[in-house]
Amino acid sequence: MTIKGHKVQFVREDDLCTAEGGPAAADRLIKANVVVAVGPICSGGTRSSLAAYDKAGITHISPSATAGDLTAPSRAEGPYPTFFRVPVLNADEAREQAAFAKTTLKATKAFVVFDTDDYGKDLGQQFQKFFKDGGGQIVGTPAGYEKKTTDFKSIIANIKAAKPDVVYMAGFYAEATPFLQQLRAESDLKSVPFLGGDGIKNDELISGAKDAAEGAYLALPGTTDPTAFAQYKDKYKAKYNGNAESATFGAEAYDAATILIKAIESVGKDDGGKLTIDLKALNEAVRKTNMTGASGKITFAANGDRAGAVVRFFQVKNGKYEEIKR
Amino acid sequence: MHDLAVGARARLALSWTRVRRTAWNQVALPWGRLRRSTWGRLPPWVRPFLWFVLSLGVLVVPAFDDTWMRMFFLVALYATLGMGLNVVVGLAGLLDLGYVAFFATGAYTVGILGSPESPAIDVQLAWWLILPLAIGVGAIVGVLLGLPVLPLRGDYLAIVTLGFGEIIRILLLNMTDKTNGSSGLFNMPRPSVEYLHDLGLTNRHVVDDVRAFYILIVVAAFVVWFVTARLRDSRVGRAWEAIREDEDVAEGMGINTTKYKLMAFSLGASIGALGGAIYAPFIDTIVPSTFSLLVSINVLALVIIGGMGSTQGVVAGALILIGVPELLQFQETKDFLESFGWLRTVLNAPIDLVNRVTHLGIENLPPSEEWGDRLASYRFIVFGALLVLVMVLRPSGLFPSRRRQLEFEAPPEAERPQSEGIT
Amino acid sequence: MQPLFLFRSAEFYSDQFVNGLTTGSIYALIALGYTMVYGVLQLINFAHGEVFMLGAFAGYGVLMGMGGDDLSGGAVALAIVVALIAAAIASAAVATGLERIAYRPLRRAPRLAPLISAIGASIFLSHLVDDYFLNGEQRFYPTIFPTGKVELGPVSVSYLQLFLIGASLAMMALLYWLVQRTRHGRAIRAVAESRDNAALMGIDVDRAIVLTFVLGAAMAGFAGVLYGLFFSAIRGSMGFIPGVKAFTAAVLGGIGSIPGAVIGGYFLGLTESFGRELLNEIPFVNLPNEWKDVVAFALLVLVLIFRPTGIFRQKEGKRA
Repeated sequence: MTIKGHKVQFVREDDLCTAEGGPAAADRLIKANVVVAVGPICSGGTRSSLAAYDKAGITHISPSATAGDLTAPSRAEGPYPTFFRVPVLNADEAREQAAFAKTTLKATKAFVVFDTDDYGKDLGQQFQKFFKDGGGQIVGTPAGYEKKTTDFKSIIANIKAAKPDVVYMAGFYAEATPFLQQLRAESDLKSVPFLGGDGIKNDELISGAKDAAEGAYLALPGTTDPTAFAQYKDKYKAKYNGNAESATFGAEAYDAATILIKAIESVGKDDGGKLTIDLKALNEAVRKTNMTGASGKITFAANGDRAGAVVRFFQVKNGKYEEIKR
Repeated sequence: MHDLAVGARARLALSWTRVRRTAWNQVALPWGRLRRSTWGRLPPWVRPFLWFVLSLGVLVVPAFDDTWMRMFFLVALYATLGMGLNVVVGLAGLLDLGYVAFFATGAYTVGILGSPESPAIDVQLAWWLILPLAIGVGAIVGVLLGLPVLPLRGDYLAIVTLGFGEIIRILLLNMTDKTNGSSGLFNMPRPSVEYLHDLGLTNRHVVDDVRAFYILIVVAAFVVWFVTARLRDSRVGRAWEAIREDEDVAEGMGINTTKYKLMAFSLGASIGALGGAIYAPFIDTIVPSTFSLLVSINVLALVIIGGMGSTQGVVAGALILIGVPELLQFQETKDFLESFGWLRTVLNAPIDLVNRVTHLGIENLPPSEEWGDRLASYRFIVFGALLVLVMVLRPSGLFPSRRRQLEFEAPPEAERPQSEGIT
Repeated sequence: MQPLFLFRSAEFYSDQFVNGLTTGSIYALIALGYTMVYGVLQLINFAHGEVFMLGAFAGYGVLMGMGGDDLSGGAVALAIVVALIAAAIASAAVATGLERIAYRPLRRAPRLAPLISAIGASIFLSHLVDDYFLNGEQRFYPTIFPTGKVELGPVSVSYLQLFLIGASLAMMALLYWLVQRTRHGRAIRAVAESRDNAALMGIDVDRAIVLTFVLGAAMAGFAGVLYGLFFSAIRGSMGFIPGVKAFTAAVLGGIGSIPGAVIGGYFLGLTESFGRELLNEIPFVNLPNEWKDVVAFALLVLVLIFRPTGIFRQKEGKRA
């Protein structure tokens, strides 16, 4: 791929999705003289590396970091100007999930299970707040678990005793899969609705949990633009021979890269065989983004958040995710 | 007939040992003579000091870029932690598998008292003010954790300390109103060097980049080395050694074992807390998952791999166990390894084999240039293999301290720790 | 926020009790390997959790090879028996290899060398499976075990739990018999008492040590398959937490004692779920699921403070 006749070089770094990996990966990218970055992926790694990117003046767009405080850091200068993100925030997702549980599932009692990491804890707490604000009741004690947990039997006994109308889980599919299998193995809990979020909606959930995944409800923030998404899907298929719909945050990452490449095209000046890029101007160009990408219409708010959020709902039916019209 | 064969084999083994020893002498003795001639004339207190400067000083090469300096910082940090744990394990003989608890104590003391994010307490103290507090808190935590468990011996102590390490991590994770849970604490206070700036020794006001932190940790390492080296050769150090060798006899000799064990525990703890207090502003974000059992294992492993009780050993251990796995992360390393196409084929062979005999459906390494990234994720495999390899090849470590070398000869059974058998 | 008294139903407590027995069975099976190896070599075999993990994968390979989710009727029973045996053999093979490569060269080495070697082997094996073979993914056991449960008043136990607890107890009894009543068992006990004296009595010490590893590993392999059938998800790092817990159980029971390891395992399993929920009945005590491990380790510290050599060890004063 080339911009104005100059080859685009890609550099990959892994922050291991950890807070301490964030600055290390940022350091390595900055050292490699990158001009822009797509990422980080996780909220923890993003939070710890915001300052490093800002100091180097490198504009970066995260396709997937959803913690609320990333664009509202507690520093006097306000949000980091170099940071933008494409995904819909946890708070938006939780608000819609609570409304969905109440109106569509007609639930008044919810049991909350959450991953004790940044994402799960935040999403779980937001859901509790919105669900209670809407007149719902949280039954039992919200139960936390750590990543790679496989034994959910003790939590499930608590769910059985609390008799909720809906089991709400804030976490990832790696743990949701054994959780659902163990939940559905309990005859009293075979039909209690299960509601999860974007971390859980993944094809691996269906292929891993099989029958136990049937009927599960999952929220997916963001929308897709029919034409732009179809283009992205074809390209994805051609390059990776995979299904773009199953790549969570894939469309967001694609859009983030598109925004950055377009911005480089608009501000890059060919300077006698060298492409000169003014980082400040680049940042301004990204800030003024107004385009329709694979994940729908994208504009940025002043703090770098995506403006105008949409949340869609799916249910697993016959081994497939089917969108629910509300 | 049978007996004869055994006897012959034993004689053969004996003569082989003799051959090996002679060969060794031919190489080692002249070197030893040479070493004694110049080295030996130095006053005894200079020698370990020179070793220290040599082993750490090699690293002070400003030509390295930030990525390398980052690695060296981690090496020096772990070397410091290693010297701290060595007081507990190497000197006093108390096997501690929960050293991370003290490292976390130091880091979180800085975080809670210094970070503006801290929800527990609305003060923001300067780093230099917090440092002595952190060391003090570390010592207190050391005594508090030490008191109930010190009557335990050997491996019982190991498992209990391991438990403490995990408890601290889970507490940090779940006491959200004090520690921010998994979101962690960030925006740490930076150590101010205003005084040095005024003296014209530096052009910066605070320690805020990798190089400056490296210098800070080397200074800390030096202080720690000095304190522990002096203590080891003092009355206290001899009391620790007596306890390590035989607790009952030590007690019989009138050594207050509880007191000295507690001293070792709290000194080790405060060194761990010191390391944490420097680590916190360096990494700037502290989250509970950083303080996992792996840190304890890392520190213990480098102490033992280095050869318990020797400073240069601790540094060598840190270089191998922290440096080598970190190297795998470098882009240069990835590019270098990716340039060997056959390596991918070699690495794919076992996967193909497993796929052929089972139905695990394992994916091969990605075909494109991305497989170097996968190699970076192999660093724990390399780490584990290194531990086994070094131990099997050099069971007493790379640089066993001379005094201990004698003890590393296999003890006769009567002196080995005994279980009461299986029931 | 939480009501002062919860007074949850008998059904809830019986559920948690059965859960405790289930995890307790797994802990106990793994703890046997720790306690035996420790008894013979005074070595904390840190890689034992990984032996358990590899057993789970061996069983998974067999179950998938015999049809996976398509298995039904009598074929299920056959497949599970074959998987259990295969797992035991695979685990035993791994443990023998470990003993040969990582422990035997260090038998006369300073005390901490074999411990570090064991830790290294543990990290190597779990990451080999996690990072090299599976790239961070997990695998799921087929859900083939007949569903349904036995109900007795408030107590309800699923067939799978019944099988898990029953099979574990049977294997533990078998092991106890092997160690206490057979010639090989006597050799192991003699070596545990004194390696040098056993050698003088004509016992092949190396063989007795290998046998100890094999027996412990077979139990861990069984546990791996039972774990997979029950909790479904398996991965390279799955052995770590059960491994640490099982070692805790072995210490609780008094390391070296086979009945001690079994009782320690059940004690720990029951404390984590049942005991913790009972504590929650006390006003102002709130220990949700995420505090499970804190409860387990706190229990360990408490027990050891009052009985520094575990529940089942009488003698004190010697270095353990």
